[in-house]
Amino acid sequence: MDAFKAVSVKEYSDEDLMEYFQNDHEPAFTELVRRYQDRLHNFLYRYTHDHQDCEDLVQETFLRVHKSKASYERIAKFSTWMYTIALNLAKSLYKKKQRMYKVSIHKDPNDSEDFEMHIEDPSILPDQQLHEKLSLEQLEKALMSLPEDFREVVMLRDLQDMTYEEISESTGIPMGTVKSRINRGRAQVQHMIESYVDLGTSF
Amino acid sequence: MNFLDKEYHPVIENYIVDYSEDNLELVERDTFEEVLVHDDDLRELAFSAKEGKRLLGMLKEVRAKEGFLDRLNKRIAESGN
Repeated sequence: MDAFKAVSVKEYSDEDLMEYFQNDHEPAFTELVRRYQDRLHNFLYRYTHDHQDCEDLVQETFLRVHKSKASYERIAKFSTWMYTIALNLAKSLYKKKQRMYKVSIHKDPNDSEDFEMHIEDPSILPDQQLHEKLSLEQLEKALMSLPEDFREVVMLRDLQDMTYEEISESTGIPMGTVKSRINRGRAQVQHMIESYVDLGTSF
Repeated sequence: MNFLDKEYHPVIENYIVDYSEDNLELVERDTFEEVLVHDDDLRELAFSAKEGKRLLGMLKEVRAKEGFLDRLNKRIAESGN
C-alpha cells in the first residue's frame, strides 16, 4: 500500500482509509467520521425516531470502529461492517427501551407482523430541504433577537433540555410564567424565521 | 403580532406546551385542535410555537454536530484505546 498522504484523504476509498487507520493514520479515521456521521445519523433515525438517541448511537458506533479497527478485514465493504455495528447497537437500545416501556409505537424488527406507521405532514419540509434554505446564522439571529426574558427560558428548555421544574427553580420564575414565555418565545422565533426566508410552510 | 400579547389561562398554556412538544394523547390533541379552530389568535400562537420548537430542535442538532468530533475524540481518549 502507498504511503498515506493527508492531502489526498478525500480521494481514498473507505476501505483504503480503514487500512491506513489500521496502520495508525488517525486522519484516515477522521475522514471516515466526516463521510458517515450524517448518513449514519439518518440511518439510525429510522430505527430510533429520536435525534438524541441517534447522536449517542453514532458516537458509540465510531467508538466501536475505533476500538475494533484490528478486526476489520478488507474482504468486507467498510460501510457494511460499520452499519452492522450501528444496527446491532440500535437493536440493543431498542430492547433496552422495550424493557423500560410496555408500549412502543416503533416497529419491532423481530416481529414480521409489526408495521411502522408513517404520518406525513405535507406542509412541513424535510429537514434536509430546510437545512438548504435556512442557515444556522438565521436561526441564531432569531434566537438572540428575542427579549432577554424569553430567550433565557427558551434556551434552557430547547437547547439545554432542562425540565420546566428545573427552569422555574433556577430562574425563580413561576412555572406558569416559564411556560407562557417559552410558548411566545418559540412563536416569535418561527415568525422571525418566516420573515427571513420563505419556508413554504402554511398554517 | 397581536396573538403574542394575549394572555391565556395556565391550563391553555400547558396545552400549548404539550402540543408543541408532541406530548398530547391522540384524543387530547384532537380536542385541543377543535378549540384551535374557533380561536384565531390561539391557533396562531400554538402553530407558531410548535414550528418554533421544531426549528430550535434543528439548531440544537446542528450545534451538537459541530462538537461531535471533539466529543468522540474525548471518549476515545478516555476509553484508553
